[in-house]
Amino acid sequence: MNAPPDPLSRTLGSWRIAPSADPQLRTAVWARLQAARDTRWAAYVRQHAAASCAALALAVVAGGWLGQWQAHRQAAQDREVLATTYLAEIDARVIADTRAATHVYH
Amino acid sequence: MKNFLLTVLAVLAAGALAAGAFFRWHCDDALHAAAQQRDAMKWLRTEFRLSEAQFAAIARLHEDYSVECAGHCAAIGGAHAELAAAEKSGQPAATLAALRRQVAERELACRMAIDTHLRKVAALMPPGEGERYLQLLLPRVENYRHQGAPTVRLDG
Repeated sequence: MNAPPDPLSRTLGSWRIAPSADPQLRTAVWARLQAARDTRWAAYVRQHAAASCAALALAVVAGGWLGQWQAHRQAAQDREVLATTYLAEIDARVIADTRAATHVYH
Repeated sequence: MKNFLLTVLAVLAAGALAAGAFFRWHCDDALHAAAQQRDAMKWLRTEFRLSEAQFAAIARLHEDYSVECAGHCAAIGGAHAELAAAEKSGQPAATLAALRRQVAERELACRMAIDTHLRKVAALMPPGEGERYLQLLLPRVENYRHQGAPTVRLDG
């Protein structure tokens, strides 16, 4: 004995959809992928919060010390240049030596 | 692994940023500009915190001293020239020794004159700065050993 055909199957078989093309689809997909990636890095950092914070603090302290050291080194070099220049303008021995070396006498 | 590398990059970037910020914070722009321009008087003014009146008085003192300095320069240059000529013409050792003594005497006179001049300049500076000025410059004057200076103005 055969069962009567299911009307739902017939209805589903005759169902047709025509989706409209979304020009923003690619951009939206990439945006979602990027968001997912960002979230993953943030989650990674949160997961390793102690190590991340320690590394960041160390980098900031080391960077700060390096920047300060570099500035002081530059200042010392500048002072050296200026002290030499200053004395060269008032020390007759330096002037005489340089003139002798370059054969320039006024 | 990618997240680890990203974290390392972020940490390095933060370190570089801190280095740049601290460099800017501690950098003495006026000093660096004076060094770039080889402007010793500008440096003197900022380095030793001179007032307008002090700077003008020191500039006058330098100007007066330049006449004396030119005299020393000519005397030392002459003594060097005499010694070089004597060495070239093969003069006896006693003559060369006398000429070397003459160079040394003239250089000593020059050094003493600079010493006196620097002390006069230091006396015009604010308290504490004069001592720092002398501490910075007197050892250089005393230790000068004819190495020449790369930045001497030759139009004086």
